Amino acid sequence: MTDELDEILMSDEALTPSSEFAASVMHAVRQRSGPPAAIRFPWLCFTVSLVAGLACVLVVAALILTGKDHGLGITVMGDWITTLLFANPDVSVWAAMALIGSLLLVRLSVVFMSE
Amino acid sequence: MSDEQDAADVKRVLAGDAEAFEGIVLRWQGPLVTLAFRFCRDRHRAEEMAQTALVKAFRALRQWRAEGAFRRWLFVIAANVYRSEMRRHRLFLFPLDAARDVTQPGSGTSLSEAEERMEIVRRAVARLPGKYRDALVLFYFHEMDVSETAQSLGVAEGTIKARLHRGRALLEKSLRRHMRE
Repeated sequence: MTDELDEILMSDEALTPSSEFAASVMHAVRQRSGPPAAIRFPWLCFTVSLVAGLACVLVVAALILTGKDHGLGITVMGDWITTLLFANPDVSVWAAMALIGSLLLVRLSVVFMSE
Repeated sequence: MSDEQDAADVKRVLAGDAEAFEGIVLRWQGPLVTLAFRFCRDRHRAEEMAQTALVKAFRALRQWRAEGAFRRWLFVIAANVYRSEMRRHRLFLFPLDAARDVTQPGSGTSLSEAEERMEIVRRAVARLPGKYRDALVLFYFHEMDVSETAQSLGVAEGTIKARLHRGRALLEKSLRRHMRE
């Protein structure tokens, strides 16, 4: 039976691709050969977020500085953050390292995405 | 001759002329579609798989080392693509009984009894467990060259021989069972 199998499997015919095959492959190749379309920087989201973030910081800073937090506990939180950062410098170092690490990860993902 | 043409086309593509890849496509489309068909026994899918392999080769062209044969490098990529596609879509394989419904390519007429038997054998190969199917398909595609088959699959020649032996035994068992039913 093995000889017969050899014969059958060897005799499997060669296929001729359809007439559109080469054109279809070249179309796919052309799509991949050009430079990838640049991703536009999301200026609108960036600006809105920046303004909102700054506004929050200003409001919280003002409340902490004036000592009037209308019962929201922000001044207490401000004291707590100040104590944490200045009484224990290690915390600042760790926070800075975490920030740098996050930025590096973002950078790496951008590099891998562009490859 | 083909090696030189391939090398020249690759050089042009790497220099920025993507259109030069068409020469490679035209030279290798037939063997690549044929090999894909032997894996999946479906013409339409075979063309899709061959296209995926060619596009992948295009993207990996810089990795080809000119001292090795382009053909061998291309078929290693194709074999990897086809094996991975077969793993992903294994459920879509036709049952052996469906072989009698197949018509001859181009003619539209039904297969003769002998041809139907051949188609059953070929489909039985396509339904074998992956490592035996891959070894058998590539072995016969490379005209029973064990070394070429081993290179395409990236395994030792001894492994290929063992898989061919076991694959044939499984194939015979499957065909005997099919004939009894």
